[in-house]
Amino acid sequence: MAEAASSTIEKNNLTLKSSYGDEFVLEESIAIQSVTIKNMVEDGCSSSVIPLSKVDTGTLIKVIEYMKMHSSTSSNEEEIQNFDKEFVRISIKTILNILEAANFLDIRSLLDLCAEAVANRIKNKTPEVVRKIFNITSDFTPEEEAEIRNETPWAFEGDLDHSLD
Amino acid sequence: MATATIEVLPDCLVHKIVSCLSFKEAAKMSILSKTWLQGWMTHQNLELKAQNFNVMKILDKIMERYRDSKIHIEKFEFLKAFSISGFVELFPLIDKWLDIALHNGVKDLAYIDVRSSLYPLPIFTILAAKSLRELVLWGCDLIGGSLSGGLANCYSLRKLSLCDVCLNDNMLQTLLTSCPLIVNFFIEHCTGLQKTELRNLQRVKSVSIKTLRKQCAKIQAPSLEHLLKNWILLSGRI
Repeated sequence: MAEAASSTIEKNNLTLKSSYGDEFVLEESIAIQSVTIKNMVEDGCSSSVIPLSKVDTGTLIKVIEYMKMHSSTSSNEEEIQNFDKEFVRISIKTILNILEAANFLDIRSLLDLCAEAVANRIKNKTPEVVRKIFNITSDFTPEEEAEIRNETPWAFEGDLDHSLD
Repeated sequence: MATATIEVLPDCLVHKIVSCLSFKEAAKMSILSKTWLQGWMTHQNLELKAQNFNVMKILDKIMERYRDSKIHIEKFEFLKAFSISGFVELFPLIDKWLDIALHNGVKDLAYIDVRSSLYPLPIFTILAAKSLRELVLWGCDLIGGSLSGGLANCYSLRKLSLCDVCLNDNMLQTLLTSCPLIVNFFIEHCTGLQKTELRNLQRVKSVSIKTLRKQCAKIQAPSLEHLLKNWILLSGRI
């Protein structure tokens, strides 16, 4: 990656700007894993800085880390799998930020990875705990909630995890 | 900047997360909010577990909802984990659910009855559906399966698993002839069978056979990579 970049640096680099105003220079070939960025490049916005007003700096750093790894030709399938596994060993809130960014940037594989990771983290938890993690206020009446519980009695068996992360 | 919460997550992302949960886990989360409920109601991988008679009614409501709203079904698994004498009366209900699953595009289908009540599974209706990729059967009866309406080939089926299934030599041959592109074949403890004969399965790679006493097995498969017979691993070309 490094050797290829030096000679054609002007032509093939893009600058991504986070919601905090931080700028990151990235090879175009890596950045266009994002369908949103690819469309911008094809529409002729590539010469300027690409503002990502919905993505904060910390999240953008993680997204770039992911895109670099996944466009690397030197890593094999096993290395990518291990990278993905490590990549989501972060707090649920951070994964949710990346999930949203992946949705906005339209990076399908990252979206799948994050959704799967969130699901894995919440699957054994009680609904009450998940409500807290996601900051959800129920929009059901107590009667409606009781009815749903009655219709899915098998769903509430087994030991549940009460921790918040 | 505020941290992400589900309030700002678009519905499509909630649905995406719910689709990564199992059917049971998604059902548990359905009480979180209407968006999560909607995610569960359109879940494509159904795993229905019947531990008692009463649950059957609830499951029937779920299946009718899938039928009436024409919700796609990718995977359908029915697990019967209770033993009752009157289960025969519920056979039409199972027929109906399988029919709904097939109509709604099911690819992976499993009928698992650990306390076999010999449900006469409509095997040829299932194979005629064309969309099927995996079929797992445990504790049902295939001898009673009707051949009326002719035999259709199921070229989509890749995995066939039969355990504690009641079938005879003819039925097994008919079954294997109609599914010529099977890659994985698993058979265990099937009563009524004299010999397990595999031939003309051009794509088969993995075979596992556990026979009862006095049953024999004959295998002719050029593409075979793994063979497990009575749990002793034999490898190489057979």
